[in-house]
Amino acid sequence: MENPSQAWKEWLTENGPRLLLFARGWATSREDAEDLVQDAILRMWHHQRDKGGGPPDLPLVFSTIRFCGLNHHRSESRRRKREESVIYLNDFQDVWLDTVLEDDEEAVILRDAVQQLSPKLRDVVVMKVWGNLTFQQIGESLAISHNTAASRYRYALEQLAHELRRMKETRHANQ
Amino acid sequence: MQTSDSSPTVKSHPVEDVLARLMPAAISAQGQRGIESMLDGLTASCPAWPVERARHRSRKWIWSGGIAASIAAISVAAAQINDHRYRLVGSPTIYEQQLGSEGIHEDAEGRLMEAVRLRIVEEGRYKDILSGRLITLTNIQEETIFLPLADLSI
Repeated sequence: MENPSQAWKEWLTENGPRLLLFARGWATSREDAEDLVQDAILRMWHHQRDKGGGPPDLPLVFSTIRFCGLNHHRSESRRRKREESVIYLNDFQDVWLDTVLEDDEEAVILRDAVQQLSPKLRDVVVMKVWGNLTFQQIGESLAISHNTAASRYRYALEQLAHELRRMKETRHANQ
Repeated sequence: MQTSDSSPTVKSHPVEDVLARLMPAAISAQGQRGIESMLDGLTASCPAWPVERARHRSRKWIWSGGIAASIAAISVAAAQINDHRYRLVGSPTIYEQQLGSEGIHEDAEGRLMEAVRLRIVEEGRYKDILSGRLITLTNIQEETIFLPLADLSI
C-alpha cells in the first residue's frame, strides 16, 4: 500500500494554490487562509478514511473550506492572529493571484478586480476558472442550482469586463 | 481535477482570456510545511495504515474545527518521536472546561449553532521502550466551537 501521506502531498502540490485562492475569500489574511486550507484538509482526511484514504474531490474541499471559513470568522483566536498579521502583511505585496506574463496590465487590473468581487460572485469565478469545476459541481458545493452558478459567473464576467474597461480608460487618460 | 463543462448556455467571454493569464499564488513554504507535517502525523497515527495498525490499534482521534495549528504542533512532535525509540500509547483530546457561551449563530445551511468557548487539552502519550518511562506531550488552548442547538452535551 502506498504511503497515503505521499499521495496527499502530491495532491496538495497540485491543488494547494487553488484551494488557497478560494480560502482567501473567506479569510482576512494569507495566514488565516492557509489555516483554513489546513483545517479543511484535516477534515477531509478523516472523511476520506472510510473511502479508501485517498485525496478528496475538489468540490467537496471547496465546500469544506467555505464551512470552515464560516466558523473561523467567529473565532476569537483567529481574530487575534489576524490582528498580529497586520505588520507581517505590510512587509510584502500580498496578492491572491500571480500574473503569468510580465507587465500584463489587463491581468493586473483583473487580479485586483477579482478580489473586489462580492463573495458570492468571487466564489463561483474562482471555482470555475482556477478550480476547473463544472457549474453542476459549483452548484453542489455552494448549495445552489447550476443555473444560478452559471448566472453568477456571467454576471461576474460582466463586472470584470466593466472594471477592465474603466481602469484602462482611466490609466490612458492620465498618460 | 480537470472537468469540462457541458452547459451550452455560457459562451466564451474575452475576460476569460485575461483571467487565464493569472494563476493562484502558491501556499507559503511555512504553510506547506505545516500541512505536510500534519499529513505525516496523521499517517503515522492512522489505524487504516497497515504498518501502524498493530501499534496504534486503540487510537481514536476526535478533532473539532479551529484547532489545526495545535494539531500540526502535536503531529510534528508525534512524527519526530515516532521515528525513534518511543511508542505512542495514547492521544486523547479532552474538552476540559466550558468557559462560556458566545451567542447563537446561523451556519451556511441555516441551522442555529451555539458558539461555546472551551479549554481543549490535546495529549500525545509515548512510552520509551528502552527505559519504560511514559512521556506526555500536552497542548492546552482555548477555542470557540460551534454546536448545533439540539446537541449541546459535550
